[in-house]
Amino acid sequence: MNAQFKRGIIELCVLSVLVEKDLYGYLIINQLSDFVDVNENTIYPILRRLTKEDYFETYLEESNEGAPRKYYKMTEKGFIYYLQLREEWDAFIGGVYQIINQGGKKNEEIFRRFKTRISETKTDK
Amino acid sequence: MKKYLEDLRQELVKRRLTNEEIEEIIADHEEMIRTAIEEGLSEDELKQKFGQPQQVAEELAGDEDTVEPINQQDTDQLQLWKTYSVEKENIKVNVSLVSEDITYQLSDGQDIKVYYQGKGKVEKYEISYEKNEFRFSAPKRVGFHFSFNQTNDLRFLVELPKRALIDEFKHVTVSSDTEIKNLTINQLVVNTTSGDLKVTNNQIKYIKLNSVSGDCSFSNSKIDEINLSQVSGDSELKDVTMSGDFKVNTVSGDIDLLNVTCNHFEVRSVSGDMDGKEFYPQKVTLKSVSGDIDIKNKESRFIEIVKKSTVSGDINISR
Repeated sequence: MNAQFKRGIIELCVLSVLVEKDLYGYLIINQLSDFVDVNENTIYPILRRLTKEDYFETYLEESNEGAPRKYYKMTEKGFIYYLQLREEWDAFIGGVYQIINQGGKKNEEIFRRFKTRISETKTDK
Repeated sequence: MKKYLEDLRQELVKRRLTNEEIEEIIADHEEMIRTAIEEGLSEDELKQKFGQPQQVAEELAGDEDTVEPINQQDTDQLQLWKTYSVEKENIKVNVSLVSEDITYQLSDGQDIKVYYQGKGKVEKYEISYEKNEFRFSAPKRVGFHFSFNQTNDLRFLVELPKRALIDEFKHVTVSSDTEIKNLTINQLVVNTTSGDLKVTNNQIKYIKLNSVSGDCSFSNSKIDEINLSQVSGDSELKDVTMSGDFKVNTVSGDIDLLNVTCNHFEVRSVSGDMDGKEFYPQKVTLKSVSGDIDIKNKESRFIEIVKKSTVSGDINISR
């Protein structure tokens, strides 16, 4: 997938998991990589950039295993940004689905129609 | 984990991120990887989840503060003498000169480039790049004939590659004026008798400097630690952020500081005075005969006086 495009989507994913609750870095990576093909290399830079832009704050909390962990917490500014991005995404992806599904969702159906169209074009020659 | 963190640090250094950024990023990764190990991830799973240090560094480099080279010397008027291509990322620099002025700066590409200007027998100099070490030295003295009957007014410019980390940088000279700018160095050792030293816009972990009568100036640099010994040469520090200690040993040389922060400012001085404006050490120690420490700051931050033993010197901190 186009890297820039993927980055935008992952950004929304990071915002989406943090809108629900505060999480530490490793958990964020885990929650995202469970569902989509993405690893730390993409997630961490986004996390850091959004923190720098004050969309997240961080705080340290002790863990049972020992050393304290850095938790990311969404700020109000972050929430507004999330809403805006979410809205853009819904409008965009909604439009995309309308386009790609306009001929129906069944692959066999689409193949059959495409095949007929190809053979029609050939006979035209 | 250790390897990953080391690699990551190196990748970040190569991309010239500032030390503060690097420390933060490394701390974050240490925590994340530790958590992953605590959760019982295997080596393979770790690899998959954390990917490549180069990749994360590249992504980060676009967003972070980096140290940009400034005031690079133009090479138009100079004669290009040697070019060495550098494959390894960690290099050593070892230079020993007599009276030739020299500037070190950042090169555009991945090469070490040596330029010269002026008259003199360049071919008599020993120069090499082998086993990741750049060595450059002035002709050896032969009896008493050396340099009395020949004019030598050579100047050198050495450019060091952008994406290399200079592990050890040793520069020894008698009277050469030396300028070091825009470089990232782990350990810098400079010995000079009467040559002046100018250090601008660098990131250096540790500096050890010995000077007899040469003056030194450090500006616009991030340096972890400095260990400075001077006899009668003066020093000047301007816009320098030090995360570690600043040790000074001086006989009669003075030090001026402007916009400087450090941890422990440890001074041994006979008669040399320390004069700081907007100078914020965390702690101060003074051992002197008549040398003073004067600090004038706008902000009133607490400065702890660890020890003061002096005959007629004093520590004055005022606003």
